[in-house]
Amino acid sequence: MNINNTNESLFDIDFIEENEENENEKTNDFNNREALLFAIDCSPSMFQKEEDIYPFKFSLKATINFLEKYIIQNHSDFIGILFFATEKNKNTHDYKNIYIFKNIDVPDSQTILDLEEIEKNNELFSSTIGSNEKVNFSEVLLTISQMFSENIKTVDSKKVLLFTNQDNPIPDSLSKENKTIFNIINDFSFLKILVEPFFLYNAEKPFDFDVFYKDFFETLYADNEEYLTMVSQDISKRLDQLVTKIHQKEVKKRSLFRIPFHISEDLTIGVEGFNIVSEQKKNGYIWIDDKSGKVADLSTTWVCHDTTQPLFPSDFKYSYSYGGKLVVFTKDELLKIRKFGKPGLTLLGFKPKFKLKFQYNIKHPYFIFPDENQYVGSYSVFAHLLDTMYKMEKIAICSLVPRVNSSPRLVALLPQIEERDESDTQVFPPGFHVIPLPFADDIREVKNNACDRASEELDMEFGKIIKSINKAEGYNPRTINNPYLQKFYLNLQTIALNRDEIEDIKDNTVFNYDDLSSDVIELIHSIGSQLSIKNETKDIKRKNTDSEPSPRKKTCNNKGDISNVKSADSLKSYTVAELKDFLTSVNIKPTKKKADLIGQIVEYLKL
Amino acid sequence: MANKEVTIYIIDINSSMWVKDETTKLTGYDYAKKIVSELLHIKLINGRKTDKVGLILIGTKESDNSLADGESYLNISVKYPILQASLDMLNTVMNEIHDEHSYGDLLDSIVIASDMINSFCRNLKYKKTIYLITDGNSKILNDDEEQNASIAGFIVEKDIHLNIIVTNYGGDEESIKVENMTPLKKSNEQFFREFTQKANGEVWSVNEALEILNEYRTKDVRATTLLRGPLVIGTPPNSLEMTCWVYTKTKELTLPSAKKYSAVSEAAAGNEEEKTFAVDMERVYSIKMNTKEGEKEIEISPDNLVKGYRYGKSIVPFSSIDEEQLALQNEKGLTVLYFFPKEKLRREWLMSNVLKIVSEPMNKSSEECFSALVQSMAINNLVAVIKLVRIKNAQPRIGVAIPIIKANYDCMYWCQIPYSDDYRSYTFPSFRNILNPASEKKSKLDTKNVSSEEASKKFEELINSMDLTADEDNELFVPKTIYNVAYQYLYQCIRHKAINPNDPLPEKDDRLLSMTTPNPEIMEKSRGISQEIKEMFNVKKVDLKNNDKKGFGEVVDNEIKNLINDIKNPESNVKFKTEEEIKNMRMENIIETNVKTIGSMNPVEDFKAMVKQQDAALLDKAFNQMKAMIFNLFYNALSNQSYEKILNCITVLRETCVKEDEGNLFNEFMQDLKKKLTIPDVDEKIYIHRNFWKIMIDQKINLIKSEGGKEGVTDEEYDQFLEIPTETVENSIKETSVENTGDIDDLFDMLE
Repeated sequence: MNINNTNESLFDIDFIEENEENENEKTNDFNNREALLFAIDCSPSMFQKEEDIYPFKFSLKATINFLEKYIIQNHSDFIGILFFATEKNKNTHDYKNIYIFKNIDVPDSQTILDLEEIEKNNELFSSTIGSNEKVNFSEVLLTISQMFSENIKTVDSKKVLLFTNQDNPIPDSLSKENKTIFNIINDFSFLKILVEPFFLYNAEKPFDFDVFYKDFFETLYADNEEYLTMVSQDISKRLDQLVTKIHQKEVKKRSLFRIPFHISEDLTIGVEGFNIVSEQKKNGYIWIDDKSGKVADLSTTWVCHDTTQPLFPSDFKYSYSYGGKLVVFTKDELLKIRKFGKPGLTLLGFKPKFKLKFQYNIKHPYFIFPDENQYVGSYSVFAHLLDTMYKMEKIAICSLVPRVNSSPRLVALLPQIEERDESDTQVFPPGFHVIPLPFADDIREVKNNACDRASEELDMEFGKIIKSINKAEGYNPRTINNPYLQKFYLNLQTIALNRDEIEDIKDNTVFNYDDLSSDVIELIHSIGSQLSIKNETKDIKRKNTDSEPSPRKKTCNNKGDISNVKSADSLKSYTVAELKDFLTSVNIKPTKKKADLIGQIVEYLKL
Repeated sequence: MANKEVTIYIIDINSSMWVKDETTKLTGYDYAKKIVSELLHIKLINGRKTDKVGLILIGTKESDNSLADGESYLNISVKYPILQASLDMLNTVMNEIHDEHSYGDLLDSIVIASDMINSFCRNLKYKKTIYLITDGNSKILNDDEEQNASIAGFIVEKDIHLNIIVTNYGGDEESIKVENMTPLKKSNEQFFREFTQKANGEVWSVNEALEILNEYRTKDVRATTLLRGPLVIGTPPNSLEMTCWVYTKTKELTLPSAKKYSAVSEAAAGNEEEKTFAVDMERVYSIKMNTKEGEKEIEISPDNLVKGYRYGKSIVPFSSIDEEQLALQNEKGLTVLYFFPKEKLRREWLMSNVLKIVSEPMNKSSEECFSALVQSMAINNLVAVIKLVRIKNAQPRIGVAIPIIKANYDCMYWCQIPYSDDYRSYTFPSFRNILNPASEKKSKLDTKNVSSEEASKKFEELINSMDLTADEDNELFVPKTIYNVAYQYLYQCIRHKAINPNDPLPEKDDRLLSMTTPNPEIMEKSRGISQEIKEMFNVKKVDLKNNDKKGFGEVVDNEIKNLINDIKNPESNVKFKTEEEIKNMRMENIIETNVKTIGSMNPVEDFKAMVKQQDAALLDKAFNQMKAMIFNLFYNALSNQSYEKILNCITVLRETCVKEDEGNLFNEFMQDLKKKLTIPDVDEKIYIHRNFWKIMIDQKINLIKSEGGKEGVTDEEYDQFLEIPTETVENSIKETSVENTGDIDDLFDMLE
């Protein structure tokens, strides 16, 4: 049992559960470390205003925002910051015009503060780092690869976020003939260093992708059509659209599983699973010693209750209580019980889409995309299956074993075709949503009594109200932040960065139609009075959920304070709890029986 | 406490119950055993204290019941009074009941059972049930109609549900069975039907009973409200408020957790009855402190600990009190944010279990208002975005609610949808080039050898052939008919092991397996089509050796290997094809003159590049850095994923040392490494990789021998070096096997 989870129960008493998965994500997180390098162009043109935006400031702001979110969400990743086309230089080889601002390492709050300082204060930048036209781009790339190799910690992916407005960083070369730079780029590809461009340009100063970067990326992603397509799609984006793109990069694309998809006994393709929608939880915490501020290590030991002998995992068996006796299994047996086959997705058949009812839901879905690394042809088969199912309005029912040791569950594959907005930015990717279906064991029968219904006229009137607060475009998750998390992050950030006051967060989870028409308001009041709704709610609360006095206590107050009681008889009208409370309040240890309690009080009050 | 239950099982063990059926070779008691054990199993799974059972046998030598007076109610024994079901009871039914060659009366037993229930429950609210299992072949004293009626009346009055299960039940049809029946059985069955009709009970055949019992069953969960509170539309005072109750509609049933059980206690001497077999957990928090004697671990009392959250490199202390005070404040209840058209609801955004919202019952104004809301949503085809706060100051959830109109009441189903924090807008490559290939250039990923239209046709065929709804009345794989196979199997295993502790696990039966595996008929229909698709798209498995479970290091290594293979292979599509270009592509050829440090990415290459520069100072540096890097790689190795890399580092270090006549340097390093790898406590972080030494032995990576006047060790030292005392080896193997199971253990910890 992970100790980190203990606090959650305070808030969410098994409301929505998510045990196994989160654990897996956590481990995944650890194995899936990423090193990110922000490479920011500092040449003078980056300081010129373009469509109300200073490209350099924009890059810095983006970096700061990114860091703030990243630092809170992925504390096992590494981040570095490199400025190029600078006046000063700071790097191991003394290359000119290259300034390593921050080596690749676990980010700290100071970095954010330093960047904020630079972002606010232009003078500071020009006096300490400065801007220069010239830079040897090959040396920039060499420095980048050097920075990655110096960071000796094992990472799974290395990514450069390149902010620049220069479409031709090596003006005097005729791209391909410039062997050196393409050798370096090849090396990037060899070392699996990915480059994500953020080209900051505008209508007046167009950016010619073909001059240099086309070759750059074709070389870099020579064997990776996937990335190449994505980059070329991104190129077309303008400054304002980049904001969305940066937000997208804040969350790592992390695959959950790679498994075979058995379409039939002899037709199998590869798929890779992702989480597009899943609840972002509050960070886990660690324990620190109050006095020294040091992180406390937890060591757990196991002891045999009967023999008091310390136990090792090999000394464990596992038991279930059944009919008052313990039924004992070995670890291997328990694993065997859960195991119904190897990880994989097995097609069972197809159904019309409408068969997927709203209430057939128990947890968040996965998203799958073909994986050519398992089976050649996966993309093609997947794409055609998806397309045909979408056109025929079908879902597929499959049995899913996502991981070794997980037991099978039926899922529905819901096809989603690609959707793009006017600027050709992908809004919804193509692929299948994998919706875990409930088992019969997961569906509860809730019986409810018949209820009173309102008149049809009232239903119609109600309809007018709800139509006035109807958002025709539907729900957009991007519009509502989790206020609870936002508040928590903000608190953490305020403390970490030593900011003076805690700002207020904007809570969007409220009803915000301030401009309801008077007709509607009138309708609301009329319905309210027709149904004689009193704005008081009978609230049957469970114990310990609030501090308000319970109705019982109120009656106690009516009866009056125990200390004012005149006779032993009148004490009988009080409850045992009240009597006990009173005794405790005057430092007398209460006994158990009511008669004795009354006796104690009589004695105390000298009645 | 609602839902208290009392159940009494009456088993007829009169002599006829012990006669074997000619064809089935089973006795009536065999059937009784099967039925009662199934019924008891349900009780045992739930293990609820408020769920009591009793067991009565008819036809015992003794007359152990409270009504027996020496004249009537004879030869009927209460084997178990009303108690919580126990394994003992199950064992008794399974193994300990025999023919006692006596005769007891069935009707008597019903009276005894009703009386037991009545005196146990008094006027409290219980669900009361009697099961009587009989073959109906013994005489029943039922000639007194008036008495029969009064017994039935009593059963009805006390709200007891009577079930009579009859083996070889003839039923009321004119079947062969009925014709072959003895007149006694015929008349008894007739009596059962009449009696149960009067008593509001039922008669079942064994097959019917078993069919019902064979249904997979599930933990029966009482419907309790998750939240009772206001549902508000609008901003006060311009608002409508009703009181709602929220129930759980779906919720994932997780496998119950197994408790750790001490095998040490099991093996220890002592009275089995007194053993608990429990495993206690002891937790100690400690911090490292620098003292005069060096670093020391000091235990810290949990009271002195505060929570800390990581913020990048730094850790921010945040006491629980501060955290609570600064957390978002929220009132409990449901708030409507707005409505939107149903067709805009994206099904894939539902991300939790489903809740059911109803109006508070017996609250007329609330009921009518809520009903009007639901009805108007349904009429206008709208769904609602509703915030739900379960208890004061809990994290608010955002969800979508749809209107549901039932025959006599209205409700909503609610399911959580993502906040922007929960939604990841990943982008994925488009399929445009595959579905509509441009004529001039075909995507590498487009492997089909037919037109898109033809491919789509084939898939249409596949989809139609695998239609699970072809038989409208018998739709396949409907959630309500599919049970959690692991859960069902777990309980089959528990039951089996409870009665036969030393048996292996029972086999998974076909019926269970069929719930999550393809239907053979459907598979048959689609087989040919999928074969055609396979050929149409040239689907081929990528041969990746040992692809099963590997660390990332290996994946990268493999990918790099593949990359190199691709480059060397002239057929591949990679741009660089000549050997010369491959060389050009390697980093060391570009920057080798610049390499001054060894990185973890390509330590071997970096090292070589440094050595190549023929600079004595740099050579020393290279040796030192390489040694440090090897240990570093150990420190950072999570499991055996980096072993190959480490091995390569050691090999290249050895090679270079031989070349540069630095035998002693290498030998010292090896001694150091051996110490750390084979002796515990020298360096814990390296000792965990002690298995690596076996690789060293396998690969015969030994010291450098002194040969031809060069630096090195003697032959004897050389020969002995790789050996380790056998004891240590064994230990290390034993301990490792323990460690390897660690993650499995975590798995169960998680369940606990």
